[in-house]
Amino acid sequence: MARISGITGIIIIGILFTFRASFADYNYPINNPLAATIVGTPSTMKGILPSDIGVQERTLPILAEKKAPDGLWYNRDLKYSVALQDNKAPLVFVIAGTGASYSSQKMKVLQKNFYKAGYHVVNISSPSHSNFIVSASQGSVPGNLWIDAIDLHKVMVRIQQTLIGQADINGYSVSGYSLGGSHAAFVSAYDSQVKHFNFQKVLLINPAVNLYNSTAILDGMLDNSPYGSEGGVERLLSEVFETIVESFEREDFTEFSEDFLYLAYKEKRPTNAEMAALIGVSFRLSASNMIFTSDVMSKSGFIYPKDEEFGVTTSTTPYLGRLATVNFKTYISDLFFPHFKSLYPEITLQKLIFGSSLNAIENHIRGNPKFSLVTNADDIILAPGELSYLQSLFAGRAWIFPNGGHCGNLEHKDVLEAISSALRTTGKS
Amino acid sequence: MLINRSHTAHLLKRLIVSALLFLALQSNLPAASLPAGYERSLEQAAKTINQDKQNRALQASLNMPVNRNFAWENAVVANVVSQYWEAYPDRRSELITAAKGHFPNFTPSQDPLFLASASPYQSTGLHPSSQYIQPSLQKYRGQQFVNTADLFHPKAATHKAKYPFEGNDPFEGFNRGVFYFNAKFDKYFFIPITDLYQFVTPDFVETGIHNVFNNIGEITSFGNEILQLKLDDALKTFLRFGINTTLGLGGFVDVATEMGLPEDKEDFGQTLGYWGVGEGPYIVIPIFGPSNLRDGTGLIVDTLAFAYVDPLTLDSYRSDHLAIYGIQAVDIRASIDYRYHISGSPFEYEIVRYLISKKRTLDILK
Repeated sequence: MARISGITGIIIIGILFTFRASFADYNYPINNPLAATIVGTPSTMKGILPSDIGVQERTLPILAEKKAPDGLWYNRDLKYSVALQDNKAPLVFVIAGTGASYSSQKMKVLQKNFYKAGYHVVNISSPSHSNFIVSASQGSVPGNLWIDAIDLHKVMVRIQQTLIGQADINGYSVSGYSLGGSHAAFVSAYDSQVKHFNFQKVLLINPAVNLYNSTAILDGMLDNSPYGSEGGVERLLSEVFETIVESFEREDFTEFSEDFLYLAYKEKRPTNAEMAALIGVSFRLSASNMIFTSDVMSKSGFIYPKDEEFGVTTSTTPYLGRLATVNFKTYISDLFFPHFKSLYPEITLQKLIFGSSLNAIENHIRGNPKFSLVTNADDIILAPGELSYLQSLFAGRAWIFPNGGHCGNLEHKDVLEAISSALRTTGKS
Repeated sequence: MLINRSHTAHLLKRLIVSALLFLALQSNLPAASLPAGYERSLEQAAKTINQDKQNRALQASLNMPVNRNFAWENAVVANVVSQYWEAYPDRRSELITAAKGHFPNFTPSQDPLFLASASPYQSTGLHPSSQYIQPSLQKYRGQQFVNTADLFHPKAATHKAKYPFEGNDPFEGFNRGVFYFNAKFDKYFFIPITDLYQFVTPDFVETGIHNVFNNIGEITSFGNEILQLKLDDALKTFLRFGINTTLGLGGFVDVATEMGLPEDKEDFGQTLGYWGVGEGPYIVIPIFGPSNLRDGTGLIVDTLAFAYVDPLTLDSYRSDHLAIYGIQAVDIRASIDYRYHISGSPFEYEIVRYLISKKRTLDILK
C-alpha cells in the first residue's frame, strides 16, 4: 500500500512539474528497439489507469455483402467495444494495429487512457483482422488504406447510430496505433470529403508511413533470419518455449507478464537476430490469419481452392503450414494486386503502393491543426528517411520519444500522458 | 485421516502396474538400423534421374521443348527419403547423409516431404501461386497419420509435425466437430450460466467456493505427488490441506497460500507424463474441452480414484451429487478466461491444440 501511494505521489509531482511537451524524466529503460518491441514496459514505469471503466462488448450484424462460409461462422458479426462516460463528452474511435482486434492488450490500454482523459471510447478491430474482413469489408482484401478507410467509416457511422440515446456526444475524434494510426489518417481524409464526423482530432500512434515499406521490414526480420527457411517457424517456436521453460524453472515465476519478459531478457540477452526473428514470426502469424481469411472470402484461390466449401470440420492445418513461408510481399503481388487489377484494369502496383502510404494524403495532413503524432525515434517499422518525413509532416504537432521501439513504451506513463495531451491540445511547439 | 489406508495401497499398486505397462509399451519402438531397402531405393532413384537426363538430352537434340523443373531431381530423392523419415526418427541425419552420398546436390531440410514442392515462393512474380500450392496440399488432404505403435511415444506429437502448429491429431475431423459443438455450447449455455453465477454470487463467496473445490482437489494432487515420488511437494500439499481444512474453515479460505505454501496441482495425466508416457493423440472432449489420450485417461483415473477413495463420503449424499458436480463445472469454467473465437483467427483450432500441448508439457516439468 505504501508503495502504491508512493508511486502515485511521484506521478502527481511529475504531472505538476513536467511541462506537457518536455518529458525530462522519461526513463524507459530499453535502448534496443527490438527488445523494447517484445518486452514492453516494466510495471513500475507504467502509467496508472482505472481498473474498471465499464467496457461493453458489442456486435454489429454483418455489414459485408458476401455471406461468410460456415467455417468462419464465428466472424459473421463485427465485434467491437465501447466505454461510455455518464456525462456529455467527446467520442474517440480507436483503430487497432495490423491483425489486432478491438480487445488486444494495447487497445485495452488506449481505451482506458482515453476514458481517463474524459472521452467516450469505441474500440474497433483492424481492417486486417479476420473478424473485420469477414463482417465489415466490402472487398475482403485489406491493405488498400483508402478502401479500408471507407469500410471503417461505414462501421463508425453504424456504431454512431446505435449510440443515439445511450451517450451524450459532443464531437468526434479518431486515433489508432501502428497500421491503425495510418488508417486513422485515411479515415479523416475520407471524412473530409463526405463531411460526416468532421473529426476534431486525429492522433497517429507509432503509425506506418508506407505500408509496403513497413511490411517489407517485418517480412525481412523472419526471411533473413536463420529461421527464414522451411521449418524455421516451428524451430523458433520450440526454442522460445524451451527458453520460457528454463526461465520458469530458474526464476520461480508463476505468471507470464512483462516483468517476466524483462527479467528473462536481461538475463538471457538474446541476439538481435533472434529477437528480430521473433517479431517476424509474430507478424507472419497475423499476416497468415489475414491472408487466409481474405483468400477464402474473396475466393481468390491463392491458397484455399476457390471452388471448395469451407466448413466447420475442414482442416486448416496444411494452409497454416504453407502460410508460414508466405510473406506479405507475396500477398501483395499474388492476391492484393490481381484483385485490384481485376477491378481497375488501369492500376499499377506502384500506384497501389503509393496509395497505401501517408504520401497519398499528404495534402490533407500537412499543416492540418487537428492532426498529431506520438511515436518513437527508433520505431522499427520506419524505413530510412521516414522519421524525418513524419517530423516535417507533423511539424509542431509531434511527440517523438527517443526510445521504445514499435509501441514498446506504449504503457509508459509519459507516453500515455503524451497521448492524452495530444487529444486535448491543438498543437505544440 | 480421511484416506483409507488399505484402499490407497491397493490403488497405488494398481496405478504403478498400469504405469509400468505404459512404459513397457514405449520400449516397443522400431529397431535402430537403416534397412537395406533404403540403399536400393536410392540407387533406383539415381537410375530414374539418369534416364530422365538422357531423355531430356534426346528431346533437346530433336528440338523438342524440355519441360523439367530444376527441383524435380531433388523431389525424386526426397520422395525416397520421406518413405523412411517417419520410421526412423532418430536416424534422420544418417538418412540425409546416405542420400547425399548418391546425390551431392540434394538439399536436406527438416522435412523432405516439403521438397517435393520446392519453394514456389522464392520469386513469385505477379501470378496467382495457387497453381503451385494445390498439388502438394492435395497430397495431405484427408490423410490420416495413425500408427498405433507410436500413440504413446513421448515424441509422437513432435516427430510427425509437417507444418508449424501441427499436432498428433489423427481424429481431426471428429475433434473439429466437437470443438465446434463446444464453442456453441459455451456461447449459448455455459458462459451465460457462468455470467449469471458470477453476477448473483458475492465475490467472496465465489472465491470461497473456488477454494473449497481446490481444497478437495489437494487429495488428488497429493496422491499424484506420491506417485511421482515428489515427497517434499506431497508434504506441502498435505500441510496445505490440513491448514485450509481447519484454519481455512473447510477450505473456504486459502490460508496456506498466505502462509507461503502456494498451490501445486498434480493430476494423473501429469504423473503418466512424469514417468515418460507421451501425450498420445489430441482429443477434444465434449464440454470438457481440449485434451489428449494420456490426460483424458488421467482424468478418468483421477475421477475413478476419487470416487473409490470417497474422501468426502459423497456416497451418503447421493441426491446432491449432480448439484455439486454442476457447481464445480461452473466454477471451473468461471476460472478460465478463454473464450472461443475471441481471436477471430481461422487457425484458432491449431493454436489451441499447440498451446494445450505446450502447457501440459510445462505442467509436467514443474
